[in-house]
Amino acid sequence: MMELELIGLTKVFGAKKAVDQVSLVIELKGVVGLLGPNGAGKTTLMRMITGYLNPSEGEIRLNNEKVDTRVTSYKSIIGYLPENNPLYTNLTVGEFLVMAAEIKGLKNAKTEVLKVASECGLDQVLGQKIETMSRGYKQRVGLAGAIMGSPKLLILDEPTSGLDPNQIVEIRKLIEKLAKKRGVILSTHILPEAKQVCSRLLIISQGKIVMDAETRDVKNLEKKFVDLTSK
Amino acid sequence: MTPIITLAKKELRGLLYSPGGYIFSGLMAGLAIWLFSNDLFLLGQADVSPLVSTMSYLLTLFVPAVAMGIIAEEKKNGTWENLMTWPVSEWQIVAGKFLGYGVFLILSLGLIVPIMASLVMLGFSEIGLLFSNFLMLVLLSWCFLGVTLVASSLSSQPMVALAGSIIFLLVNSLLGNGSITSRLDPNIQNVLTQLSLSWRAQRLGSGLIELGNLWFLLTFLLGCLIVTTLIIKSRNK
Repeated sequence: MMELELIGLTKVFGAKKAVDQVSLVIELKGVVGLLGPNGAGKTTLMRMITGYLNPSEGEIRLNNEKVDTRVTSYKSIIGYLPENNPLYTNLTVGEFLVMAAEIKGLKNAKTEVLKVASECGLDQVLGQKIETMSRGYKQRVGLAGAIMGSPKLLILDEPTSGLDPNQIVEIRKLIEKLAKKRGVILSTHILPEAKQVCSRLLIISQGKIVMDAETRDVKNLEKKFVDLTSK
Repeated sequence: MTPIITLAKKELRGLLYSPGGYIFSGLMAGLAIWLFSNDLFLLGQADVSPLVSTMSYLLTLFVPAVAMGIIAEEKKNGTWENLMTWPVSEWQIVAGKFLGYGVFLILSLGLIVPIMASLVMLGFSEIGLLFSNFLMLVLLSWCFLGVTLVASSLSSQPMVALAGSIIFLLVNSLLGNGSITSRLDPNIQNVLTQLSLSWRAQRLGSGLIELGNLWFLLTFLLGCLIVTTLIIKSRNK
């Protein structure tokens, strides 16, 4: 089983420590929930794991080997859905997915696109422009782009934010389906969602991990969350 | 090579499918025809040099206007985060974007080919000179694109990139204008003139291929691409 190890990961913006000495081991299986209030450091931590940001201090190890998160060989094991799901909305779903497949260096791009589209329930809308789609479908497109190339770790930054209740249920089911083949790190504000989807829960507050526990061992998550993050 | 070609195709498709690209290209060609026709009838002479001189100034405005969002727009929309976390290196992103916009600039400059053809019909017989001038305009527009790339990588606001590029390019053009720098010491004037992209390009378009000018423009272009790559790398730290 592959594992990702964060050792003393710290990110400083000016005088503010957005992430402060985070050390974790994440097995690339199941869903790890990253919970925390706004500005706690969730997105910054995820961005460092994806290689979008360089840590100010600390390192990331993959299977006990230090990795440079900027190199393409590392990036190819990570699939990332950023917050607000930015997409090239002038493209059709098919064009976007073919582009993602080609950039990720997949040899049979079109076959991969059909496979991923089917997995994410997009096979009927491949010719539709992204800008004309509902928010729920756009989220599916973002997820499809993220899992293109079968990454070992999927990082989802608030994937259900802004969706209506039906769309939330659909996307949640899709995440559970995708997590069967890979590890997932999921940040969310919705505590019941985290309890339902995640096998492990992390709470981050003021850049520090203040709770790390198996979901089944956590009783009264709401109270714990408030106690740990309202200082 | 695949990510570079894929990114180039994406950029080119974006330009060809949006009205903005056509508006700017049409505007540039229209202005070029109008200004050149004025010169042609005023001088009563079928000469390519007024066209080249006009185009140099038009490109100073046109290239930044078309390419201001080349990186800044992606940062503004958030798609930059997607792109930077896909398995593609910074230099491949820069090369892909440059290639897509570079091809679009060749297509746009193709709109002035009818003007050049009309010169031939009016008796201008030096086809080689017309060809070298066209190539010079392509190279000059690529250098301007390089400047816009650098400016666009420094900001997440396309308008800031536009203003920065135009100011740089106008100042650079003025360096090659003898009437502006004539009050300076001749040695300083000479150095400043040598730094002007338009002056270098116009020398190339005179029909005499001086390797020094060609190398200057190519080195400048390569320098812009390298600087953009370094800026992208350093900005995510």
